[in-house]
Amino acid sequence: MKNENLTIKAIHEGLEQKKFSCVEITTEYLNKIKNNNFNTFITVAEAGALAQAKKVDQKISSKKEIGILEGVPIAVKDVIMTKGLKTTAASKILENYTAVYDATVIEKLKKEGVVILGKTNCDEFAMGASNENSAYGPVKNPWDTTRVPGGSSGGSAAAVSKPAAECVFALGSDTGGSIRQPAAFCGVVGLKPTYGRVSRHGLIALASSLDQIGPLTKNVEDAAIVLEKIAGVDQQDATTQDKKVPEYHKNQKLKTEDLAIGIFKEDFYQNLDKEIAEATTKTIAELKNQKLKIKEISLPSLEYALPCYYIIQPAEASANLARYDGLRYGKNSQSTKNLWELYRLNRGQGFGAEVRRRIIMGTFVLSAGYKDDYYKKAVAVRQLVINDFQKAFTKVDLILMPTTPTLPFKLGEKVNDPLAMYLADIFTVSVNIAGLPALSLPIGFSKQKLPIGLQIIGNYFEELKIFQLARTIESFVA
Amino acid sequence: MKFNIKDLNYLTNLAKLELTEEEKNLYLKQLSEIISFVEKLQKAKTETITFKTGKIKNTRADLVKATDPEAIDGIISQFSEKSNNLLKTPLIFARK
Repeated sequence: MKNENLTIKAIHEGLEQKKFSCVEITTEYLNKIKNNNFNTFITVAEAGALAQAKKVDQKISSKKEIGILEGVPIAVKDVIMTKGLKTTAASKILENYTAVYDATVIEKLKKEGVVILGKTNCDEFAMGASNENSAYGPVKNPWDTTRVPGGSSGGSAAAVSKPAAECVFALGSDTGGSIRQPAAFCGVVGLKPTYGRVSRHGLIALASSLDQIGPLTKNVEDAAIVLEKIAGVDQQDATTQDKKVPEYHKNQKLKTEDLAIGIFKEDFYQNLDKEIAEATTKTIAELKNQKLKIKEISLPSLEYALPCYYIIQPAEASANLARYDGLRYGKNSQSTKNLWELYRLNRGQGFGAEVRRRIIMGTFVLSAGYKDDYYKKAVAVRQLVINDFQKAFTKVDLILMPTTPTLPFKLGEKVNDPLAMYLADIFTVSVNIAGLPALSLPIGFSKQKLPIGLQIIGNYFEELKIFQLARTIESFVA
Repeated sequence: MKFNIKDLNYLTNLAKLELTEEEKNLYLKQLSEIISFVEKLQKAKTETITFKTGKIKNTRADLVKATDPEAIDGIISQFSEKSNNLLKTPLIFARK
């Protein structure tokens, strides 16, 4: 049994047709996790996974029907609460924390009967673009172990990738590209849903107005299946919207010829890696061949998206991370004179370098004397970005853009230069600023056999159109 | 804006973060670069921007929901120092 290419449907059919048992397939994934050396998992939940697999096998033996996700082995980014499992956010400050409740997405997936293999490595509190900010060591890119897998959901993307094959799909979270950028670097599909499409209840917050949970999968169909199961309104998250969840998994009735696709003028790609530019141009040319309407668009405010993001995101992060004092789940063995000193020591030593940097930056942009020039200005620019996208969506249905400006870079290459690392998010942050849905899918490989991703951006709650175009591209890229 | 050590000390105090001297020197340089980068925003024309607040649809009645006792036990059992199910902390106010 080789599990490299097993999609959700393949697992489902294999279980139903008794090609393998759920315990067998789960054991195979657990062995892969043990034997691979990519550092993708922080916690492996072997006992729980096998217990759930046995339950599924018993159900199949008693000739009961199983659901599409029943018995499917999955991985969960370590910023999402999973009852009874350690949930560390890849931080030392939470190294002893075991979640006491399930996030809404986990509750939903458990009801579907998935097998949770464990919790994946990521950048600490989801802050990073290379997975090098984890307190548990960096994840290695399974396509080339000298390179980064992207971040912050690097463990999730690497675990799904073909050379690792450590799970069927994984959950990640995306605040400025943290699902899409690692998906592009690891050659998998990654979806950041519309803000409010998926509940954030039980997601360890980075920036509450930007965060969204989404799937990392082997193909577009799997992303559609997972979104359908995790989407929907939730009373525990007031920002979720009470909109009907479409049957994303079904072949769409939309004809791709009816879709108008927005692309940018060539000068947009000036600072783009040559091989990514070539692969993007080739994909667009093929879409033209298939009679899709391609229109050039411009989003003038896009140049401000990255600086805007690096004000709003640290501002919200500094407020969200104020709750961590290291008293409950940290080491707390410091002999200090008073509580104030203990806070300073626990937080100073419990948070990693990037987290502290962003907390200080966030505190700065919100502080008296600076908040008007920085935070309030960024909030106004955010509206400019939203307006530009809405104007573009009066002319086109979807927008195509590279996911990343570079191929996966070398481990250690940018770790001491935070600004260079921030630029890795240049094509993804605008989507979070505007709250839009976007999907990254693989469109080929570089000469060095490194994956290349392409991003499809849709208007609010139009994930269905994104899947439609993604399936079309996937069919000719494959 | 030039970011100096006084600013950094003020902010780390507000954010309750203890830093070593070496870290302070590194952060001074890095944060100055990041602040220069985000200052690009000042060029954006935002005078005409107005904010619309949408109708709030997702409201619900207040619900009194007891916390799952298992969750309470789960949290208390993780405390590194405790006294009768209460989290033990150092003194909040220093004795003179």
